[in-house]
Amino acid sequence: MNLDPKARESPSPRSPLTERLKARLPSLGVALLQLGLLAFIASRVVQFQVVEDYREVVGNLETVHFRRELVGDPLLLALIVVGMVIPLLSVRIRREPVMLVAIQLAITGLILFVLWPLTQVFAQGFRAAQGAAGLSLIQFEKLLATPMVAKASINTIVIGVISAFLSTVIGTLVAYTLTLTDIPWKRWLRILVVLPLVSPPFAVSHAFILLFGRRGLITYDLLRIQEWTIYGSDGIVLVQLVSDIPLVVLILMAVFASISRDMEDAAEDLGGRPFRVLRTITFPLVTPAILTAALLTFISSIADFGNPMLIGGGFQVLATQAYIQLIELFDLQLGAALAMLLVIPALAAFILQHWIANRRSYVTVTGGAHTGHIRVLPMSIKIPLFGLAFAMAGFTVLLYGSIFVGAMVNQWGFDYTPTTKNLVGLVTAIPQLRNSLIVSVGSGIVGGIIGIVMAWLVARQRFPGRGALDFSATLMYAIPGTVVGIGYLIAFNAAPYFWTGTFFIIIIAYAYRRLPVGLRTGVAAQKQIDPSLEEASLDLGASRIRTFARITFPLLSRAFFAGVIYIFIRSMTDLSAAVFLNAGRTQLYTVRMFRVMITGSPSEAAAFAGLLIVIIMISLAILGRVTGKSFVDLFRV
Amino acid sequence: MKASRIVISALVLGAVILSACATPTPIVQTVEVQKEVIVTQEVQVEVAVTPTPIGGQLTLYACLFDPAKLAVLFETFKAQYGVDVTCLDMSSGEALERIRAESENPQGDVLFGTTNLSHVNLAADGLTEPYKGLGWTLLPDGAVKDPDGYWTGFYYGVIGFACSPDRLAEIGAECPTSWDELLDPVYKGEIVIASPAASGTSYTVLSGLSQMFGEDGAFEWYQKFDQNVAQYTESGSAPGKMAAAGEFAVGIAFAHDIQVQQDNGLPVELNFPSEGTPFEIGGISIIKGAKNEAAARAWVDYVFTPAFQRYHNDVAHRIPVVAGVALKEGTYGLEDVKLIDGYDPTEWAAKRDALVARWQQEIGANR
Repeated sequence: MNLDPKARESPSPRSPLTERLKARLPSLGVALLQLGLLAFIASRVVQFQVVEDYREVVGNLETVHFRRELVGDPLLLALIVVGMVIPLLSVRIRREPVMLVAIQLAITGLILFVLWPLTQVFAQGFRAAQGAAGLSLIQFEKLLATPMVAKASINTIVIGVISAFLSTVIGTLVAYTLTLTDIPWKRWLRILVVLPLVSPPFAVSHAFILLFGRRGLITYDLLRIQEWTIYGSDGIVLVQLVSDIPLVVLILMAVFASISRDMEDAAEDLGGRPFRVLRTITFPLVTPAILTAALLTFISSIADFGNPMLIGGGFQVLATQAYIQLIELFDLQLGAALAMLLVIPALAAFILQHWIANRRSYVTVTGGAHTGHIRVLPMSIKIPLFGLAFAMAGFTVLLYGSIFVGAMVNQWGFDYTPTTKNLVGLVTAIPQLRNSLIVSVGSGIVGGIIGIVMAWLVARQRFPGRGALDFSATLMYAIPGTVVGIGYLIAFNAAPYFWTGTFFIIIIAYAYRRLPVGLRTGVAAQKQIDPSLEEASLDLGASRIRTFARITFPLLSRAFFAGVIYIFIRSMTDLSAAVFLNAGRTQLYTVRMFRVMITGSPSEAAAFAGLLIVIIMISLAILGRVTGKSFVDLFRV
Repeated sequence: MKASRIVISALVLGAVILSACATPTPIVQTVEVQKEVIVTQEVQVEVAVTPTPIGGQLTLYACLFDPAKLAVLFETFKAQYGVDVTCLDMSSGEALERIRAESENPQGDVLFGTTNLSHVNLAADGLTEPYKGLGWTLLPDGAVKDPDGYWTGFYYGVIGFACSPDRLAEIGAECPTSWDELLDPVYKGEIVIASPAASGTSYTVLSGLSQMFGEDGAFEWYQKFDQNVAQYTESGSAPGKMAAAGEFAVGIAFAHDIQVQQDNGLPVELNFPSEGTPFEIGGISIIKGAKNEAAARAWVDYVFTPAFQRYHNDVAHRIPVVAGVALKEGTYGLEDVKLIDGYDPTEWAAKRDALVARWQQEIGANR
């Protein structure tokens, strides 16, 4: 890195040439580092292969001629080179080689594992047909001519906005209740509220039908409701709320726990009534985190195709339309064009979120001593808040109860005799379970690290292309898993990257797919931290990297673990990308589980879902041991 | 279901040692495979002797059925050829997309099962390899195989009506036995079927009816039928499940999907339409560039052996294409259902876009 500054300041009696050289040494070092990095990446992206060219037969002698052929994608290499050059434009970044490399690696990673696979699919949207040459807008013309697409687009936006709004509001209120009030059984409520994250979304739909369907335990057997049906847009929103609220709670609990009491104290001292304080001081302080949560839930809601397919009852959204075109109708081109439409609302939401969040600064963590105090609230606020938290927790009990009870009875809906026969088949799923654990632990760690480093780069550093980096990282979240899976297959199943069928590619895919949560949580947490803490460290002579390791990371460790846990859980429960990326030796549990849900009885399916939930809980307990946190602390973020 | 012990005794001729001067001396090995598996009925599987075990791995795409329940087939194949078989779970459409995306470096060897239309699509894109093996030679010319050997049909799937006895009792109706009965207003809001725009199963119904009643006649029928339909699902097998769960009185789906629900112990009745039933042909083909082509060919042959055809019917309920396979007592075979005369799924596949567009316009758009 930098040479000792004193050496440069004191002129030595040596010749001007060596002096000049010496002054140049740091930049020479950077240049060498850059060349080395580029050479390494280039050798991964494109390679020469020796291939047989032609054979010559003269008499009874056969001569084989070989030639060298370039394999790989020169376009990808060009993209990466451009990506690496951009940060070099900033003199400030150039001066700190470690940070330079961090930025370059972040950009390279995003180009390679986000933009490139997505480009592979999206490029198909500009083809007239499979294998057709040239570009064409015919797919988009087809979309415009189909009334269903306009309808599905509107439905997508409406469902996304409703889902995001409701889950953000409810999630924020619950997170507040669980961190800053004196609600009883707080530990257990926290676990129960966040728990639905642990189950795959399609298992939630399944449980919903078991409980609230036309033959649901509650709607049919208990309440005898005949008219109302779970199938339709209400059902989609309800199921999305179940999986989105825990995410909102997870993000906001971290922030509520870290905001300082001082400002609220001041407001109360000045005579502010509790509700006014809550509205004008507490909630504005967590605005960046609330916006983050809203953005993530909106994007995940529009990308969701599994729930609308299972519970939508014919209600069309863009993600299901894309799935049907891609999978049922085998039309990659039209499906790709449809998937591209999903990027538009995601981009709009992203820009809106940034615009609001950047208008004001909401810094509260200064030294971090005075945080997490219980707020005294009047009964009129307390009762609805407590009621909401208990309702959420009760709902989890109901949902999981139905899965576990379902697994232990003869035939859900018809015969509730206890039995263990559904558990027999689970033994055959042990190898898949092991593979799923390898993949999920791997992607949790990889994704967590990338997420926190990128959060630091995005929130604290200024460099050209920062906004683009931020958005590309969020992009993958808005794309249905099916499209991601197909993109990875096309991108990484040819020379020289034979990565399909390996654990590596699944780990990378999951890490990047769920990266936005780690990244956004990290950014929101950073916005809470006063830059003066880092500036003090920098002023005292520490490098940016040292400052990150000693000051920033410890303050962000909660956000980091939140990211790791979230990615771990989501990787354990993902289905749509897994179907394309798992192979003979890397078969994943959810894929098997989904097959059982289709061909097995509801009780067998419940047994598979129950085992997954138990395994995730055990993993979290072990993770708690390793990190020295208790099980509950893990959820406390 | 009862667990029965199947003892498969297999005589396997081991590796043939070739020496420069002597004639090859075959090594005879007796392999006893003992497996405890869950089957619907005891099946005696006789394993033929093969002179050259192939070895290696074989990856089958699109396990439409829980691979754990097909394990005995994989074990028998392994005993015979020494090949480890992996069957990857995915839907037929996912398998198709996957094969296409992997075309530069195929990861799968065989597309096993799924409607022949998938195989037609793959062959058209040049993604499969022709193979005229045991099955192809065995079967008569016609709809069940590709004339050039790109795919061979190995089972029939026929459309049936799934009925929930509980739900039928509540609305005071009987399980319908014909397409005509489905129009009875008693079933209003009680019928589920997939959308032909989203599901191949439902397109099978639409095209089959068009073959039987003529296209206009089929749409006339559909207009009335639409009055009774509660929901058009995205998935083809969902209607069977929904009827089995007692959510709706009638679900229209493939009979084998309905029977799987019966096996699961759910109360669901199965009826076939008396006028004629549409059907699919399930095919098999070898993926171009398969890593283990010898094993792939052996598997394609194996699929047509009576033992396979019988066992596959026992667990997965697909109807064998091979004539003369004795089925389990009480199982319906091809002779028990009335197939629609002259219906060729492959021929109708070409008309899909136009027919679905008409359906969207006349039926789907009014929803």
